[in-house]
Amino acid sequence: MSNFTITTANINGVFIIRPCGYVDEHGGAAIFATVQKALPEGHQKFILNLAASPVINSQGIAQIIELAEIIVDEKNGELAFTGLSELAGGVFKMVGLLQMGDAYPSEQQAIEALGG
Amino acid sequence: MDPVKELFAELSSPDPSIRFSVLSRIEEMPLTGLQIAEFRNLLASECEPGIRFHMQKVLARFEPGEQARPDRSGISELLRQPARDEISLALYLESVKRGDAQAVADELRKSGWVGFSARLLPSVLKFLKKFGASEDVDAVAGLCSHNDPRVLSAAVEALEKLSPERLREHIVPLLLNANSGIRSRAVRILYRFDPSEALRHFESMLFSNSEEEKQAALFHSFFFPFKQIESLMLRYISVETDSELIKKAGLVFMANPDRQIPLRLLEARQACVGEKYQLIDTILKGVLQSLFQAGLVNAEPAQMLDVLESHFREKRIRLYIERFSLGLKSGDAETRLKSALKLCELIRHGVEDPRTLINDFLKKESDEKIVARVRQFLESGRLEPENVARLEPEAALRKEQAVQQQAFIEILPERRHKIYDAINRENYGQQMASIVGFFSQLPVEEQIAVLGVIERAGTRKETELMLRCLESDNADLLTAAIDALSVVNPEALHPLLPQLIKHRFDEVKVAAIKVFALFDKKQAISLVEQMLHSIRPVQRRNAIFCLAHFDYASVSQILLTALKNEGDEENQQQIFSILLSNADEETFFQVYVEARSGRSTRAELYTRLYTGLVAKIIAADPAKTEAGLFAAAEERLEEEKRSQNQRSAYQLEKIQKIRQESQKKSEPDPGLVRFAMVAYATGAVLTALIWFLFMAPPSSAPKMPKSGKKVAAHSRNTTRTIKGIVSGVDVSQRQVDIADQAEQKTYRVLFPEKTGDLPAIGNGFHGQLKITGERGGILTGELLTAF
Repeated sequence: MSNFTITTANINGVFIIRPCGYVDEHGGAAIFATVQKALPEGHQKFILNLAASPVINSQGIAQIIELAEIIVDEKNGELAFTGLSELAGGVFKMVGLLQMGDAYPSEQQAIEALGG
Repeated sequence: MDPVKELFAELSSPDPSIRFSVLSRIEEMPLTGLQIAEFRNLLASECEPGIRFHMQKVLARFEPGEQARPDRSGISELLRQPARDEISLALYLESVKRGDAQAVADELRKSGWVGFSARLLPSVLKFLKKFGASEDVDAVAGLCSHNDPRVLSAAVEALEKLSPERLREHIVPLLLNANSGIRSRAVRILYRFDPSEALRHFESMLFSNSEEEKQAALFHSFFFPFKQIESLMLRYISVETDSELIKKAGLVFMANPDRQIPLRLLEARQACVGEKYQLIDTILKGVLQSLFQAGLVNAEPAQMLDVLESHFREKRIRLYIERFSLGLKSGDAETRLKSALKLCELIRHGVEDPRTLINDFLKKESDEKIVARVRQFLESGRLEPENVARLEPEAALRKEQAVQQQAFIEILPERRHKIYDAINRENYGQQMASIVGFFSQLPVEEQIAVLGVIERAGTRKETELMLRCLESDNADLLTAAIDALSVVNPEALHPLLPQLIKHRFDEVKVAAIKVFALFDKKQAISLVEQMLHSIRPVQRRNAIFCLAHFDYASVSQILLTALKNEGDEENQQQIFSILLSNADEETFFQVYVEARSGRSTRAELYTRLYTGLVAKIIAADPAKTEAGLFAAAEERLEEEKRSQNQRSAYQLEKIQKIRQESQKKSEPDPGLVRFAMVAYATGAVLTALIWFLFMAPPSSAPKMPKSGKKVAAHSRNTTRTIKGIVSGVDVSQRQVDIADQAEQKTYRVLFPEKTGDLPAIGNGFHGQLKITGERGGILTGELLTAF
């Protein structure tokens, strides 16, 4: 069974989520819970750094879509992705996640793009 | 490529649904001055009003007056004006802050927003999706049958958020919608309250003839739990011929790594040639990589691939042994002899597994002639008794050394067999050089052995020799020639398949169908299904054996259906072997439901089968437990029973019937819905020809099928066999125009340099192309093979 961990950081007002491991149903739920916890604290700008999570399955994708809808649609916040593997990039494009948040080559570029 | 450029390029697509979907991506992007100017040019050429509106909305963001958009106080005024500035209103609605949302929603309600124009409604619905309340549900639900797909999909999205239960009442019209994107979304909604029926709808879309429908199904495949669609996706990937669609389906596999999948993909890969082999190979390697990266396995992908390949070989051998070991028990002497010889052949190639079976068989066999022939073959590889004294080992060695200097035909048959056995890739060229000249003088059994050598280690150089064997009247020789050609040069066999598939010998027919599957698996499987309806058990047996050669995902449903109808015990056993060798959860669930639903008269047979399947699944994956599998199967059974009574209105068959009837009455608006009819992706003419010949009695003369729109549709990146007359040649571009009169189409074909001289105008042409596109009504393609 794979080990899944999440670390977070707050850089210049941008909340960064860095999952590590396979983002399956449980991994996706953990990312979702992390965002749910950060929203009431007033965070509006989020970066999902998936560099250490090259594989995200359908259920993980569903959780990320849901959290993107909450951040972008419901809370009028901003979301960016970084560290997308070729596979994750292809999947995100196919399911429309890149319409909800842009992808950047590095975390730093994503922070700058979000005005952090 | 620059992502903005890429999106702008898609804005030139002739398909409005693509142009519309691209706009939503461009909406939020920052654009440079040059890009804005380019976008303005694109707007000038856009004719579709809904898309124009969205483009204007995008441009309005960059207008100097952008900051002067109406604010909260100006919105009431704007809503009251019948000739309101819709772009400003749409932009405002999309930027409302939460604090103002309640008041804006109230203003909208007062203004009777349902009556707004179709181009404005998506923005209103998007707003209500975010900030709407229960009082908006009825109005939003009322738009779930709007005739503009943009309004309709925005309404469905909003209702999904506000009151998902209300979608249930809209499921039938949504499933009947002309837009495939909306239909597939409806299937996703249906999954919430009837998963098994939703999967039937999903399956029907995935295996539809419409590329549009398949695209939509693939997009939505990410929203189903992968376990539920795994076997459908495997079957899809093995029969699909469009490379772009295969790549998309590949993403679903790679994103959902499962330990059971790589072997299935390997089977699918082995059943393909050329580009499709490469595509599935890439997906297989991608899945192995994902498994490793996700930490689900510890082995490196290359290492796992080695293990899988040897596992695949072992499985094939096991199935082969199982098939012929059943034949050893037959009441027919010839079947027993043939089966024993097949098993001996394996032993002679170093596979020891069947030796015990053969020894037991020889002890029990009452026909002495059979015993003698089997012993003779096992020892020498020859069927006829020796008429020359056995050579002493030392003399044999001397003789072997002298082979090079002696005419091959003069060597003793026993020695020749030893030579065949010893030929490998390294010494092939040298040894074959001395054999080929005498091939026609060799007895048939030796010709078969030589064909076996070619299949094992040969090259295309021997194509002519193999093709000559296809003129034989001996079923074994014909089968051996087909098998060898299928490995060494399948393209050369391709044009001869129509005749071979209708051959009077079942073995030949089966061998030909196996090769045909390399080119068009979907149709090949249909041909085998036809054989399964035969009243002769032997023909059905051959068909079942043929199914074992396809990848399991493609044929599992056919095998389960065959089991329902099969009355012959030996055939049932054969199907059992295949199902057990490929034991997976989906098969187990289906067999379990069949056994326990009370609708089958063969419950005992199915119980025996599912017990075996459970044992196999647990043996392959120790993480699975018997209790867990039975609990899941019981749940599936309950769900089936529950759904039986509820689903009448949205049952797949009912929806299909209504859609067929409505399509007869009116064609969908081509401006909004792109229906690409893809009838047969590969070799339309060949396929039709094979169908005709296969269905016709063997004595009737072959006829060309009538051309028709059903087989005339083209699809990018698919292969097609065409026959026609050269009507134009452009030497500098190496392009040849071919008029296919039967199909009433013209093809512009690029002849790669390696294909040599170009044909002259007026010449006949018969060959296989890869379709690359269409320009001005002319299909363009690249030559793959000329026959």
